[in-house]
Amino acid sequence: MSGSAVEGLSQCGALVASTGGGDATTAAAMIVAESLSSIPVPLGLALPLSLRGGDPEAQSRLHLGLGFCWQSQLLPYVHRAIRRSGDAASPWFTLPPLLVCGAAGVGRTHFARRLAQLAGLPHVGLDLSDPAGTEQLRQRPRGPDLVLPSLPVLAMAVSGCANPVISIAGLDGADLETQGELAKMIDPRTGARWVDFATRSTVDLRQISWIVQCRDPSMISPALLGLLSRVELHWPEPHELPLHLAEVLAEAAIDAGVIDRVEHRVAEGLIHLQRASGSRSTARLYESARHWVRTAIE
Amino acid sequence: MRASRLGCRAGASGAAAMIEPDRCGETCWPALDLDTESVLLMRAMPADIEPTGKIVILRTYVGGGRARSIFDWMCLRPGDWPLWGRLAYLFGEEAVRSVVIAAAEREAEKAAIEAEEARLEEEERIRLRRQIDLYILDPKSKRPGLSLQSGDEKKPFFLMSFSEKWERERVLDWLRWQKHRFHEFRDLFQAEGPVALERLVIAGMRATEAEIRTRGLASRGRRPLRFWRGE
Repeated sequence: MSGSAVEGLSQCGALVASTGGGDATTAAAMIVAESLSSIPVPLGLALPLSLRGGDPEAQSRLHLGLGFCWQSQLLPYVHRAIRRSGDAASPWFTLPPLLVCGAAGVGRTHFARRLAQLAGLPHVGLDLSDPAGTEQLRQRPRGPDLVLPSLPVLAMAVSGCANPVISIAGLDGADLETQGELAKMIDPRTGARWVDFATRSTVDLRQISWIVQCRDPSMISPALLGLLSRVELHWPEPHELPLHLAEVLAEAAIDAGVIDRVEHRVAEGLIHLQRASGSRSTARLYESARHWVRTAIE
Repeated sequence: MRASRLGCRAGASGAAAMIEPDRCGETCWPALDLDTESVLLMRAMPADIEPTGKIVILRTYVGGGRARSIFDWMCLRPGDWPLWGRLAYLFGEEAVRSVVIAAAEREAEKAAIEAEEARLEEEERIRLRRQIDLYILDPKSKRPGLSLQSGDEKKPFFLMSFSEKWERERVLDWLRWQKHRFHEFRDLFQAEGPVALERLVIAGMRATEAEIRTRGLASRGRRPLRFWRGE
C-alpha cells in the first residue's frame, strides 16, 4: 500500500488501511457496524475502528513479556496468534476463541488481562452466572426502558478498537438460550453480521479475542463447544510458583499505577505473596498483592 | 553447572566479549562482561526476530571485582534463571539487583563468615588438642583412678585404676611431673594402646624411684616420690 489515501470505507467489516509517508508501519482499521435503517450508527461505530496488537512494540512485548511458561497447552495458541499478527496481510492480534478450563483459582482472568495489556488491547469481562451479566450480553426490550448495546459492542465503541479481548466467565451456570446467544456472537458465520438492536445495526464481531472460562465443559452446549479450542490451565508446580507470584505482583502494581516504584521492593513483595499462596487462588493472590502494594508502596 | 572459564562467546552486539554458562537455559541465562564488570541476563529470541537468537534483557554494573563471583553464583542456580528473566522484564534492573545481586552478596558474606568461624573453630580445636590434663578420679563406690584427657575431647583417652588410694598417689607422685611428656604418652597410646602406656608409666615411676633412692632423696613408706618435685 502506498500514499495517504484511506480506502474501502463504505462496507461494514471491510479492512481499511492507511499508511504514513515513509513509514513502513501499516495501521489497520475496519468499520465494524452497518446501520439497519436510515439512522446513522451511534457511538462512533460508523467510523473505522483500529485493529491493534500488530505493531512492532506489541510484538516485542508479547514475545518478551508473556510469562505463563507453565501453561503448556495455552502458549501454542498465543504464539500462533503472535506470528499471525506479524503478517502483513493481518497485522493485528486476534486469538482463536478459547475455552479455558481448570480448577478455580488457576488464573484464567489474570491470563486474559495480561495478554490484553501486552498486546495493547482493551479487555472487558462478562460474568454470565450473574443475571446482570446475561443482560449485558443482550438486553431484552422492556417497555420504555432504554436498551443498551451489548457489552462487546460497547467495548468496541468505548475503546475505538475492533479487536478487544473479552473474557466470559460463569458459562457453566448459563442457560441454553444464553449459550446460544454467545455462540452466535462467536461463530464467524453469524458473528460477521451480528444484530445489535440497541444501535440498530449489524456488527462484525469476528476480530474479537474470546476467552471463555469454564470449570465443567459438560455444562456447555455442543454448538458452543464446537466453536471453541479447549485448553487446560493448571496451578503452577512448586518450582514454577515464584513466576506466577511475580506475574500477579506485576499485575497489581500496574493496576495501582505504581509499577515503576515497586522494583526496589520486589523481593519483599514476593515473600509476602509466598505466604498467601497456600490458598491456590490467583484471585486471592491478587488481593493480597493489591493490599501489599497499597500499604508498602502507595 | 559450572561457569565457562575457557574462552568466551561474543555477545549479542558482537562488540563486547561475554562469558556465558556452558549450558544456556531455554529462555534466559546469565552472562558476564568482565570489561565493564557487569552481569547480564540473556534471553532467547526467535531467529526471525533476532538473527543472533538472543538479546540482552538486563545489564547491571556490579564492580569492585565482584562480578565474577556473582556470575558464578548465578550459574549454580539454573532453576532460578526464568524467574530472574521475568523480574527483569516486569520490574526492571533494581528488582533483579534486590533479588539476585543482594542474595549473592549475602550468601558470599555468609560463606565468608562461616569460613572464618570454621577457621577459628579449627584453631581452637588445635589449641585444645595441644592441651592434655591429668585428672584424679574418686568415683563413689568405684576404684580410685588417674586419667589423661585431651582438651578437644569429652572423655579421657587413658585411664588407670587402682585397688588402693595409696597406689594411685604413688603413681601420681611421678606422673604429675611428666606434663612435658603428655603428648608423647598420647602418641604411644594411639600407636600401641593403653597397656603399653601403662607399662611406660609404671616403668618410668620405678626408674625414678630407684634413682631418687640412690641419691638419698626418697621418702620412707609406700610413696618414695612423695616429696619429689620433679628434679
